[in-house]
Amino acid sequence: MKDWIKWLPLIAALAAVPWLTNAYMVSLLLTCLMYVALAVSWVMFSGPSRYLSLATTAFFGIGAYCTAWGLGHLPWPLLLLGGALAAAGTAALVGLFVLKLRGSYFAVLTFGLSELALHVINQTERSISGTVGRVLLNPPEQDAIYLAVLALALAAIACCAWLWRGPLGHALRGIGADEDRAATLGVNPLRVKLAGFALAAAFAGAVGAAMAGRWTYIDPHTVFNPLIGFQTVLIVMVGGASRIQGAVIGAVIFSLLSEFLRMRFPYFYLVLLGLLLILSVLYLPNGLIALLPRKKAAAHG
Amino acid sequence: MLRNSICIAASLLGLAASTAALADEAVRIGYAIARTGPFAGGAQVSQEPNYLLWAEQVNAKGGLMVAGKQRKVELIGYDDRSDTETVVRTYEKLMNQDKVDLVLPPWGTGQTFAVATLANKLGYPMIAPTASSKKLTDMKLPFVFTILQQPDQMMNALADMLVAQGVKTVAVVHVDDLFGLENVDALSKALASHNIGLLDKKSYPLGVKDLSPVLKAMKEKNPDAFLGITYPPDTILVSKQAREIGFNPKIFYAAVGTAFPLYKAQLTGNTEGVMGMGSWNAKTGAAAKDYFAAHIAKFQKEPDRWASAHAYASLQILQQAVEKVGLDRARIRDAIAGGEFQTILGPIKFKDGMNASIPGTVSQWQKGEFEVVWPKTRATATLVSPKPAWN
Amino acid sequence: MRFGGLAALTDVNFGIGPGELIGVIGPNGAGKTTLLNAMTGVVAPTGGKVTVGDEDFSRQPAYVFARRGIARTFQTPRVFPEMSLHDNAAFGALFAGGDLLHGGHAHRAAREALDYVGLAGEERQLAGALPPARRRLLEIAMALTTRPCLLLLDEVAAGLSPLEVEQMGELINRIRTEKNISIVWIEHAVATLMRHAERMLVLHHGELIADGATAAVRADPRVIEAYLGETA
Ligand SMILES: Nc1ncnc2c1ncn2[C@@H]1O[C@H](COP(=O)(O)OP(=O)(O)O)[C@@H](O)[C@H]1O
Ligand SMILES: [Mg+2]
Repeated sequence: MKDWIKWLPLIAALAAVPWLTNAYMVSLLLTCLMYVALAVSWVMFSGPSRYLSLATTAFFGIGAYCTAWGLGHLPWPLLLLGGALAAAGTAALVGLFVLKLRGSYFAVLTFGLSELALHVINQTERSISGTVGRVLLNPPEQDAIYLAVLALALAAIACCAWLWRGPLGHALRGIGADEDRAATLGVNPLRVKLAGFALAAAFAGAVGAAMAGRWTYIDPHTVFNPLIGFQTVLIVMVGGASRIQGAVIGAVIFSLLSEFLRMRFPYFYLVLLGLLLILSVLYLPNGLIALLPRKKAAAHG
Repeated sequence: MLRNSICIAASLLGLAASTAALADEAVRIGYAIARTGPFAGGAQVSQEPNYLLWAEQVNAKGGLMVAGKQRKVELIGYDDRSDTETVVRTYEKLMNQDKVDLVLPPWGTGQTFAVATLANKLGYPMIAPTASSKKLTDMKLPFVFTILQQPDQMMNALADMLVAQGVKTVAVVHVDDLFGLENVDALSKALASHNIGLLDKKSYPLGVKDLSPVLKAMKEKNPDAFLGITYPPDTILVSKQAREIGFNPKIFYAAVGTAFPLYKAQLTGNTEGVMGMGSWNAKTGAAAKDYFAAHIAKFQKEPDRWASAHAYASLQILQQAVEKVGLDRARIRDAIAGGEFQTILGPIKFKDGMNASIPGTVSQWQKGEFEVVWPKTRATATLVSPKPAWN
Repeated sequence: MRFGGLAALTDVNFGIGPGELIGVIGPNGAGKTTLLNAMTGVVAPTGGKVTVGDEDFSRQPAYVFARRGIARTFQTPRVFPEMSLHDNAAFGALFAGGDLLHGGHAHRAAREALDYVGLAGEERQLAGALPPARRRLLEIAMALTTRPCLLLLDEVAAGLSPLEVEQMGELINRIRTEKNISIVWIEHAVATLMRHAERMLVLHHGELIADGATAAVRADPRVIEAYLGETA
């Protein structure tokens, strides 16, 4: 548990980045941190439960819209909380239906959720404001966004560690291995899945609310970008879903690598990236994390 | 671990930048644009080819004249994956780290928004060729200019043309995004002011796959004109489906993409009389004709008859501003804001950051060419009405 | 209980008293496992009633049965292969045994249960690495930590060596006597079963053809014809 103390210098260094380097480096790290937060939020629920969710885009977009609606009326940190709550609420509500399905049905339905959210927001915007798309006139400073996303990434990691160590994580793991069996040992599967799904959604929502400030203009198609959800799942595939470090390392490496390849090979980077992905899935099916030595499995409690 | 990767990435990215800087003396012009993802279609038809064509032409003539010295142009173009965060990050790199001399805009209204505030803050002038939104022009960012006609201009021109054709009733279908809504808003006002009856108005989501029920209902109402505020795929869709159900009003208008060569190819022999958003063709002037030929020579395809020429003209303006004041970006901005420029679309001036020289226009397919038919001052042919029947 | 056109259980009526050890026999496909499924909420009965105490549990989901003190094993053991033996055993304590908010209690319960079934010292091992025979022991430990009042065992001695079958019988008997848990035990090893169980149920084609004291059932001609005869 005292582990985290040895990470303090790194955390401090990350927090100091805006004062040490140029805006692009901040922006690059911001992308890494955004995907760290998203990937950890994803793996928090989907890792142990093995419910492959493609809803990250939906939660991210819902959070982004909280900022789009609330900026100028409410303090920004409150909007991050609002984004988290709105995403968690949506997850709980939708989860009541989709969490009863398994496998590819669940994946497809969660993917559909972002389409659904997009159209609901489109309709709402049209009926309320008569137009879609919102201009954020006084967005927060880039450094504030960076620090907020850093805090969210750290919070997601801490929350995931806490969750996995405790009974909820235990129940999710049981559900992932054999849901009906877990039920015969007293787990109420729907309740546990709802809690896990909603908690994970909260982080994706808060990240969306934080990132929205960077784009000046928000419309449903920019914030419900399927790329965000797919990339999150890819990151976990590359990094490994069994440990938090997998998602973190996956997010950092994937973000840096895709940026490097995109800059270096503007026309072929997708082919290269695809190739690397295929190789990594073929040769490291359990993710990059399999390359790290594993500490002795800590006993529960 | 994390720290190491950051260092590695920083050095790798730095490496990329330094090799780029080796081409000494070149004027470095950066941009990000969609080569993949949903925006790639539009960006690769109307925008990036013109960047490439212009740079090639300038370099063929020895380069850009900067403060009495000819310097080659070096384009630094990245794929933005149609992802807004990637757009922002890439421009941050171009402006903050690579410190390029100039930037060119990304594709479309949404992406332009994201870059506009950044470019404005860092003092990079930018002339957006594919951004069309009152919300953007209302921000009045001093360093950001639009060269494409804006929704109210295009819709007022459309309404004026309808009045001139004696149109009394219309049916409107529109995409329900910002572009569709801003245009339909402007259109509704213009129609109301001319007492043209709006018999039906329907919206549809982006990526729609079937509009025939809507079109059938509109056919029942028998309007004088059908007006579609549509994007390229839906422009083709409404045209094909209107033909299938035999919906052939006096005026048939579909907005974006009618001007694409793709439209002609898709509607094989059925384009005659169809109107849409277009502003020029090779007959617009001698310079336009040269541009048209050069585009075909380089890409083996025709440019579209709307945004392509605006994109190219924006580069001509930038070039003339640089040749006048050098690479001081604040002075370039002032030069653009204050000057008049010779372009393939004719002389262009800006007012309040918007193109003040080219009015809203309407074009029409006639015998295989997309002719400008409204207003008379920019027309390349006379309007044909009523539209002939579909084949 | 029906599965489409198939009547898996018809007219099976019996009660279980506190502390009873009831053996269940019947040929393959007789409906023994289905009976346990209906008694644990794993499948809801299509007709009839399951009551626990005075309450109707017929429509209750599996976790309610588990929390009410009804625990079971599966014919093919269903352990969580990627969890340690300890975590497998702690599972029931947390979610059915009332230790949800007391990780320490669950921890202790898990160790005790593993100890009790003879898996002490292997807490850290992954369940997936256990040989099948020991998985059955683990499943019993998993059931015990739910603090059951009724334990349902589905062929826990199948595939064991004669010595292991004997030990299993001892263990089950101990659970009943020491922990005062009622037990329903399905088994094909009739001899062992009859030695430990004081009451026997015999299922045949989904019908309960005998229910009574072990000695009486052993002598029942219908049972001999339907089942004992076959295996003899
Ligand atoms: N889920 C199910 N769906 C359809 N038929 C089933 C199902 N479970 C069991 N059965 C059928 O019910 C009958 C009883 O099965 P079971 O209870 O497993 O028998 P036993 O445990 O006595 O060998 C068998 O014919 C079996 O095929
Ligand atoms: Mg069975």
